[in-house]
Amino acid sequence: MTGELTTTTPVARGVDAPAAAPGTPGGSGGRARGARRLPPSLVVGAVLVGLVAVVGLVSLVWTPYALDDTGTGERLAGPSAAHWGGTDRLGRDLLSQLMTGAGNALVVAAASMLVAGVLGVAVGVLAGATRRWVDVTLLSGVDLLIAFPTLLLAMLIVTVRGASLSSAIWAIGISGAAVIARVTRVNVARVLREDYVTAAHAAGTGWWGVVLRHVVPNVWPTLLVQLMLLGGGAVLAEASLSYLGLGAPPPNASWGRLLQEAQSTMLVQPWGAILPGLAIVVAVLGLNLLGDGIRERTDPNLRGDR
Amino acid sequence: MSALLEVQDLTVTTSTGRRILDGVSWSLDAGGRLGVVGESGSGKSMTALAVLGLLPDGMRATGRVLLDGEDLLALPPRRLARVRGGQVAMVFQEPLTALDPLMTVGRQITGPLRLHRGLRGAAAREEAARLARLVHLDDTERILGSYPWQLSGGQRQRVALAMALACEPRVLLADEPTTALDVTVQAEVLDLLDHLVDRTGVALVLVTHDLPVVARVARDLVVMRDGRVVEHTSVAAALAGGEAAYTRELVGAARAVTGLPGGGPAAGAAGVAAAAARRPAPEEETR
Repeated sequence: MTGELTTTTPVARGVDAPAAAPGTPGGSGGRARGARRLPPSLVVGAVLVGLVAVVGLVSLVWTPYALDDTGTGERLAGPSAAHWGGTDRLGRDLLSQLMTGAGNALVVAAASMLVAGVLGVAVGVLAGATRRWVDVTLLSGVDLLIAFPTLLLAMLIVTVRGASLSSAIWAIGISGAAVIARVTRVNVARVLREDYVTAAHAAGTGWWGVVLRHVVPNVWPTLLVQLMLLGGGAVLAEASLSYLGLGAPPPNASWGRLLQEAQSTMLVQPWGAILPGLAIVVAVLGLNLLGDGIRERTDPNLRGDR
Repeated sequence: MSALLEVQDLTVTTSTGRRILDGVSWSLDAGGRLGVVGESGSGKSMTALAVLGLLPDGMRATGRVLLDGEDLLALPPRRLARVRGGQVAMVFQEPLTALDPLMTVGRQITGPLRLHRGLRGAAAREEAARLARLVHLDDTERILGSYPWQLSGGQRQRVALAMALACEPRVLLADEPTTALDVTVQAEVLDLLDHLVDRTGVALVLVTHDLPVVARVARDLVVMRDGRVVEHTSVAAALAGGEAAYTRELVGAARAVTGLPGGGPAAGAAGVAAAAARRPAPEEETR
């Protein structure tokens, strides 16, 4: 459909329509702007994240063994028919723990993305839409938060609230909110300076109308990408926190704690370290590729290249 | 009070205290056509923005802007929003940046329809199509479904005109509406503007640095320099030789480079059209 449109508008092309590059591949149909081939990174990312999500969901209703079941066979065994991922030093099934870990990793990623998204967008829109002291105050707070290491913040929160999944979520979410707030502020301020916003005001559109009609549609792709990248970071941060014992306490499983527990037995049973490590790589890579793919699909500067 | 829009002693000050506009006064009758000319930085665009309270941050306007005797500068934001687009509409210089790149033209035209006239759905779409035909955007269906970057500059400015006229405003502020267009398209858009003012009876304020453009469309003239009104007269009188030395200088310079006629707009419309096509920007030479 893009192809049809550009060929029927000879006037539009060549004048100053950089996005409508001639010969843009037609794609599978749909709306004028949506009819392009999906970027490979989007597909691969979605598949990887989907895989982790499905495993995590399944773990909610079924795992091969219970997480605290130590009497299922040999300790520190390698992969076998009974234990596909082997067992740990207490004889617990590794696959079951990995599956539960997938669920926890995604819950932390999703919830901290939500916290970061809601807090960050609220602060960012406020800072971007106001001037002088409100903006300066909010921005200083955000800068302070960005300069503050996530792990240190997490330790502070854990000291106050105790080690749990929700402590990890708040810690990761709040430090992510600072980054999101910054990106939001810059983009909101940029859109608010655009001529079409002045034109919208001149047409009688109110402040909320401008935000909903013009700012949000122009800003959300950038934010979505940032949130996806943040999700990848959140999986890593959750692993680090639980590696340090600041995440979900046992018997609840986390990839970071699996790594930490496997550390002392790595030479005897390397699978205990390899499998959680791989799981982390898959989840982080998936979320990053997903973010990249969304950027490629929505960034008008990249649209013309294909 | 006979004037529809009356600007009285309008002064705009920046946060550093510099006066961008200094005691600007002029008036516009219902159905009138006022050209505001001046060189870059003379404050002519700022005047148009100040009328609608759209000044950039940190700038303050004093004085009065009376629409039917009601001071727009003193209106609370909500009531001012109803005036904007409903009573007084505006067209901007650069139609590409004045349209949202992510929204189809159809949705942008229906925006003010929904806002001021409460039209929704099929009724709004029909009205948008009617407006598109009004501004001579033939092939209406395709254009309404297009994004701004898929249209030519002239088409975009027609879209902007359609949006401005969507709610049948009483005053149309056009800020350099043809400057960003190439010369042949300029003539078309000017003709259209002329035609629309005739047809809808909207009062026009045409801000431009381009004297031939004013001569072609406007009846009255405000000449501005350094934020002050130099002269407020009729176009014909200005072309015959204005009172102020600066006006005479401006007209003389424009005439020297464009062959601007001396007998007023009616006498040489064709000549002006040709002149506009040959030489769109007399501004640099007038300095």
